[in-house]
Amino acid sequence: MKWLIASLIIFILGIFNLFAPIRGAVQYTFNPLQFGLQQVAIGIRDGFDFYKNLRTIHSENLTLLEELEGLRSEVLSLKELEEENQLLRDQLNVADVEDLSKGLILAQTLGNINDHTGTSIVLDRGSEHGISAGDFVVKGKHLVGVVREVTSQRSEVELITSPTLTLSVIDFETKTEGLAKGEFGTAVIMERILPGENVNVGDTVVTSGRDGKVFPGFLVGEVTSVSGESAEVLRNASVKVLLDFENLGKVFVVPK
Amino acid sequence: MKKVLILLVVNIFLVLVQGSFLRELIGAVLMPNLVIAFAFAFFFADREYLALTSAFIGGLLLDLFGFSIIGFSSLIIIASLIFFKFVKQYLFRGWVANLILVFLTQILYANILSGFSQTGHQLLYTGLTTLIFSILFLLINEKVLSYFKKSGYLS
Repeated sequence: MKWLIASLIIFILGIFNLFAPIRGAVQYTFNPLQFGLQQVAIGIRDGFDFYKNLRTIHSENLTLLEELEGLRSEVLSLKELEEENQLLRDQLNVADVEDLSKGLILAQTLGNINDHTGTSIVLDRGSEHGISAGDFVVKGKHLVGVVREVTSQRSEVELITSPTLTLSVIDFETKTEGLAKGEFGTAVIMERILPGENVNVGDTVVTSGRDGKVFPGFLVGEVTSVSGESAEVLRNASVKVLLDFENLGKVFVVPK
Repeated sequence: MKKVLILLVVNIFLVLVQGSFLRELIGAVLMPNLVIAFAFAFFFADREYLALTSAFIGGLLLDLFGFSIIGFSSLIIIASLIFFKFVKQYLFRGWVANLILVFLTQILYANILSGFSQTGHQLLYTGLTTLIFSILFLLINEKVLSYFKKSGYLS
């Protein structure tokens, strides 16, 4: 019974956040060890995956080489466009609307010990490094999630696949707007597509920024299926997340 | 004091393995709760003091490494252990009851922690893996304890 009473007292004191410095010290001390263990586990898992997929790797390699050739020519034409764009910007004297390189915080992802759904991750950076709840996390142009909770040394990030996270999104090709809601795993549902609006399989879904949570233009995923007819009141689209949350490694936190 | 220190070291190891190693290796959905499994392994062997002490230390560590209110996990696990002690005393006994109890504790803990947002299969998987690890720990604990006693390290 003494342990129950002790736990109860600690819990009551914990509500008032009296143990935050102890938590900070523990997390700071064990961050490198957790990272090391995580890397060992990733190495073992990758080794297994490699031997498991050995047969398919050759054909995959050939396909990727073909894709690479196509992408090289695409990069070349994009470079030309970029130069042209820069020239026009200089001519019009327009500054970049969002200079994201300013104020970004680099963080390493760690496993979340309390999450059994795979819808959140932990970062090894916290309030002491300038992160606060509501900041969002990106990897390149991909949106990873939104910071839910912060301690002095760590942050808990709710992934875009979490069913409790809702974001305003837009179909990049057709400009149809909707709300993205996580569906566990690697899928997101784009909800509230208005009648008459078009969403097609293969379209790219990005953040619209209308909700004020995330800047516009960050990649959410690719449409894999659309439910219902276009005349129906509200339709949904299933969106596959292109980012591999199992192998995130380092990410950037974008302060609000 | 020796026992408490050993339990502290073992629980730190378990929390690190659970959150960093097993989570990456087998995924979040299958991730067992090693702290619950370890405490219940003592409970199965009727070592109540060790079960409660381990639950207290392990629960605090789970909270310190995570984001829940400090004391929350130990409170839930210890309350479950005490409740199930009465269940074992007056209602059900035996192996099957033990297995059901550890399964239910993990489901309850995971569900409260996620704000009751977990799906049925997620709860089933984490409950089952925790149950499997509790059986493994039961076998290991008894061997380790008897070795320590023989060597005179623990009284």
